[in-house]
Amino acid sequence: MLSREVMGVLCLGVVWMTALLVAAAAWQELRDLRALAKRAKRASVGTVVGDDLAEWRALQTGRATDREEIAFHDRKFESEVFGGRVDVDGETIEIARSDAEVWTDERARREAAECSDAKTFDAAYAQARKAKGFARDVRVRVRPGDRVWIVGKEIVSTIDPVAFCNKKSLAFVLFIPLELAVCAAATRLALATPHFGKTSIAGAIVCLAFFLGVTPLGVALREGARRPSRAFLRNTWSRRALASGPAAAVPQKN
Amino acid sequence: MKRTSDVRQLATVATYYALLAAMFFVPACRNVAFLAAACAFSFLTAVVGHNTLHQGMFESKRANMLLRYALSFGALFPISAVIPSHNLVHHHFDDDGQPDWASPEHVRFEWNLLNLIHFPNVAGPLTFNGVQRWARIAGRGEFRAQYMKEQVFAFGLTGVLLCVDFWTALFFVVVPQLWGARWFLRINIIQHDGCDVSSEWNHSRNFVGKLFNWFMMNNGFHTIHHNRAGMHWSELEAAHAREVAPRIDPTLDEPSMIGYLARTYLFRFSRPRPRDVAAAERAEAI
Repeated sequence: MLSREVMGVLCLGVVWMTALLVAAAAWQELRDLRALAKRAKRASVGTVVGDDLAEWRALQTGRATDREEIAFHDRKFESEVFGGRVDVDGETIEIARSDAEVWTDERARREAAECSDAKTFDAAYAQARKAKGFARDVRVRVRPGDRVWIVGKEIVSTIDPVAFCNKKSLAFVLFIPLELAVCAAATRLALATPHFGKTSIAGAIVCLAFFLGVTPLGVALREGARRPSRAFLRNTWSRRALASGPAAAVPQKN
Repeated sequence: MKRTSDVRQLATVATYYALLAAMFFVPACRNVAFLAAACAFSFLTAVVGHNTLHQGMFESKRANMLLRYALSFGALFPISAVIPSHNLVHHHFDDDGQPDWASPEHVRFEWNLLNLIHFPNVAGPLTFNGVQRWARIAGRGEFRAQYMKEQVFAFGLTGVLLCVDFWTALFFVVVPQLWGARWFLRINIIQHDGCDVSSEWNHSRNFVGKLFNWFMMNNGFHTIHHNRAGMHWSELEAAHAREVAPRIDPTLDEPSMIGYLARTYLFRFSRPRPRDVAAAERAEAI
């Protein structure tokens, strides 16, 4: 016969194993971000001169929803450095053509993905209602006058890559101890005396909720820390938002 | 029923429900043997869910929909999620340009055992997020309604059992439910890690043991299942012998899943290095 005590210890063991694995996976992300930040500290910072330097593209397919919206799916992300010149402290350096990652700021990407007007929406919506969907490319260019960070042959960025890494790292730095603390608190509650009493039941419910909820949180954090060159847009065009004015036409994030 | 062989599938689901009921109502049944059997049959019930989402068991649509409720409670997730996540995404190994929600690449621990354990923690949320996005699209209202009803049934019935006898339901119903659901996700890394998903015949690992496939309703023959998704499970073994065995890299035909798990996750630390399993297939194509 399996006693409640044995089963309770078994279940808490599974909850803790999950908590530790989620923390370890977050640690992997944090480690990668710190390594990237270290490389990015040696970036050359300057201003693009001459022609466009680079382009970031998201290849999307939009599909109609039942609410007069077009929900976009990001099929592929592409970066292309055309090559060009960057003025770094009065000295012009040549940037070779390459497939380096192109990082652009989130606002620029979201603005590029917006729907400009109702006519554009209607034309796209007609396509989006078909099985094939409405295919399009969202493009953001790195243009003359833009401030850029050049991280070796790895990244051309219009945002400070160190600041990006620090911001994303902070989320993981907070998440790991917080997640483990919540698990510890839930465990404490589940082990409250009298064992298997009402407080203990509340603790078990919190443990179960933690077990089911911490993994989506870990995945959301990881997806939120994707490099800007392949960060999901997954935006939505809404007919209603367009109708209520340009400010409301900003795509909603899924 | 469309095929008499599906009696085995119904018997699997019935056995699982009987085990859960026995443990819930009869204290003497709350032992290791019953719990282990319930966990195993929970996984097998999820396999039945997979099979029926490829090909309904009954002529009656209503009967198929009702069975989905039973299967959803069995694994504590709406079984209709298998349609977008498995039938439409996993079978193509990509989500219209993005990785399959259950791709082995989502985990990357150096200690390979951790990849096996952690895999459902990543594949689960990615799958349910993906299903939500998929279900938003116009014309999928019927799916959304069924998905919602399955959630209400699965979580509702589980909730009722928890209210009746919290600890018994938690330990002897919820534990088997979650075990089955998580191994159902985990099977993806087992069947595809180290395979070449871009190839026609070497994208999957098969487990060809007779006894294993009797209980698994031939789901060990995974290559042929991917290539002929509409084929009934009872025909997979013969089709594997006829079409897959002559073409596949022999190392992807494993005699035993237990042997493979032990060799890959227990008796070694690191993840096996990817091998070009499709080399012979490409050479033959040239």
